Amino acid sequence: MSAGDLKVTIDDLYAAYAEAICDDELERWPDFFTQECLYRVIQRSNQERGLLLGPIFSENRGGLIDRVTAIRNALVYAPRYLCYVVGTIRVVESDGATARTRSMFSAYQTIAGGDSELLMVGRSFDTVTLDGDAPKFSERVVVFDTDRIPGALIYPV
Amino acid sequence: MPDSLNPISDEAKEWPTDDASRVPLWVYSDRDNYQRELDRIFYGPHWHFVGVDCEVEVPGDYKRATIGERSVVMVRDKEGGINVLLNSCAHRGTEVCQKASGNDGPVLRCPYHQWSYDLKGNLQGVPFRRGVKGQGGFGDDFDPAEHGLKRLKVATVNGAVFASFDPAVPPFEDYIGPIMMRYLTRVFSGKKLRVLGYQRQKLKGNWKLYMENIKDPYHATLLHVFLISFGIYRIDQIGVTEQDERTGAHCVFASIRNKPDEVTGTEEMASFKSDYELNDPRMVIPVPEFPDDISIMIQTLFPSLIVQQQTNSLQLRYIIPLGPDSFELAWTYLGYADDDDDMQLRRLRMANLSGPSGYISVDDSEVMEFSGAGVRANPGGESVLELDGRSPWPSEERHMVTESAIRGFYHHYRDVMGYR
Ligand SMILES: [Fe+2]
Repeated sequence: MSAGDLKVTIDDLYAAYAEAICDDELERWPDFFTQECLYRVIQRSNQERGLLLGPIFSENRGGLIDRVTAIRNALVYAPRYLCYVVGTIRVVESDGATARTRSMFSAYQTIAGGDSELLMVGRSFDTVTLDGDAPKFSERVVVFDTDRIPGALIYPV
Repeated sequence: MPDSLNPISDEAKEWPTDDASRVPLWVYSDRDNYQRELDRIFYGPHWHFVGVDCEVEVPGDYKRATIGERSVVMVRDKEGGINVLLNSCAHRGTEVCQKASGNDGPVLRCPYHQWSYDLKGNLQGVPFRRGVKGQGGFGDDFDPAEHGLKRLKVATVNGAVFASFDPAVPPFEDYIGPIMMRYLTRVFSGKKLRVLGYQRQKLKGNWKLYMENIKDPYHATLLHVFLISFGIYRIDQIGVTEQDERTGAHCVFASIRNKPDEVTGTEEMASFKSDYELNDPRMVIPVPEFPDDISIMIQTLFPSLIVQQQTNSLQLRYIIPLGPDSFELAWTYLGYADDDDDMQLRRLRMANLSGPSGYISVDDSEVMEFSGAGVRANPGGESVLELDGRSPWPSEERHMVTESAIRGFYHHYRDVMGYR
């Protein structure tokens, strides 16, 4: 794949990922990951101190499916939309089979019938597997600057 | 007779009953009441959690904390002691430390006019104290000993650090009493601690609503569908309520995990669902770690600390009021310094249950905001606490089908606040 084609492929992956969240089609969200994967959402303040703890941590796609099941069937929360705006996507390096990529994002939350508010801003540091039918994240580490989250972080980012 | 749903005037601020089976809803929104809480509870003779000693390992290490609305700094001094100092320069009131934690050497220096303090808060250096080329300077009667950072009273329990603004606060062990001490020292056992991370949330509700939530086993089995579905907690499981027998205001719920096939008492739980199976169940698979069989211990210490052991997940929650209408929930996740990699990973997995995305705690933080909205608009109303009677003390069997711990909190709160 040429560098230009790879750039388009990766941009599309991030766009489709954001759309799944914004369109409230969370059932599609685990499909953006490989079966064995790492997904971690962590505050920048923890990460910079060398701490690994964050709001969400999953070690495989099964864990992501569990989260969607919980969001849909177990958690009690006010209905909401998430507007996940991703930009500044870059392929840091690639060997053809995988690509290390990163992005910046802001996530706005709108509780149904209410105002929109900034939920968090941050960056993601990712690894994308390119050798399957479709590119998928084998690792996605979402590092957010917003140390004090307004309310709860229910939808994935 | 005034409409009981209308806002009430100052004179009418009276407790509606002579017991704590009712709580007037103005306690969650009234400005004067909030100011009184700051003065009497947060800056009064009570102990407040500020951190864990391993956060300030070596001399000069400091960590910011908040008591009420005031910023304080927990700092390790040259002699190895831990001091808690008001983070407000004795010169003009500026915050001395801005970073959440750090080490700037043997002094704390205010960035504004560079007044510097030793690690016990004593004023050490004042620029231009003698003036510049004979001009200016401080008078001969300026005594640096009178201008240190305000020092709080400090108590430590096996690494947990507490502080109080009031020098007349009782000794910590007397403050929480022997029963609470016994449970606190399960987690703070003397084993060296390690911080695994922090989480912070800002919630739109009064700070007391969160303490009530944690003192309320009634909701646990009704609201927390996730918890119920996977057999982590059920109202019929073996559990005890313990309350400090002098104040009623400190409390522990301790329960022993049920076997997954013991499913009873679910008929009245509208939200009960049992058809979920985790694809990755590792976050709910514990290993024995404590010398007893307690799988969940939730301790609340008056006014605003929660110590929780949820199988192998150890968390502290400290509530910081942000005016009457919102609060910060500050989580500290703990492990022990000698945890092996498996245990550390297990604690990280289990952290999915709590915090801002926690499978259990999301429900609570959302309900906080529903409660906040409901009580703010109806200060003339009152909340009804009659599950298991009206007494602020646990029943003889000390079972968990009770609101006695919430009543205990308000029984003490009324005393402290002078509402009789
Ligand atoms: Fe709860």
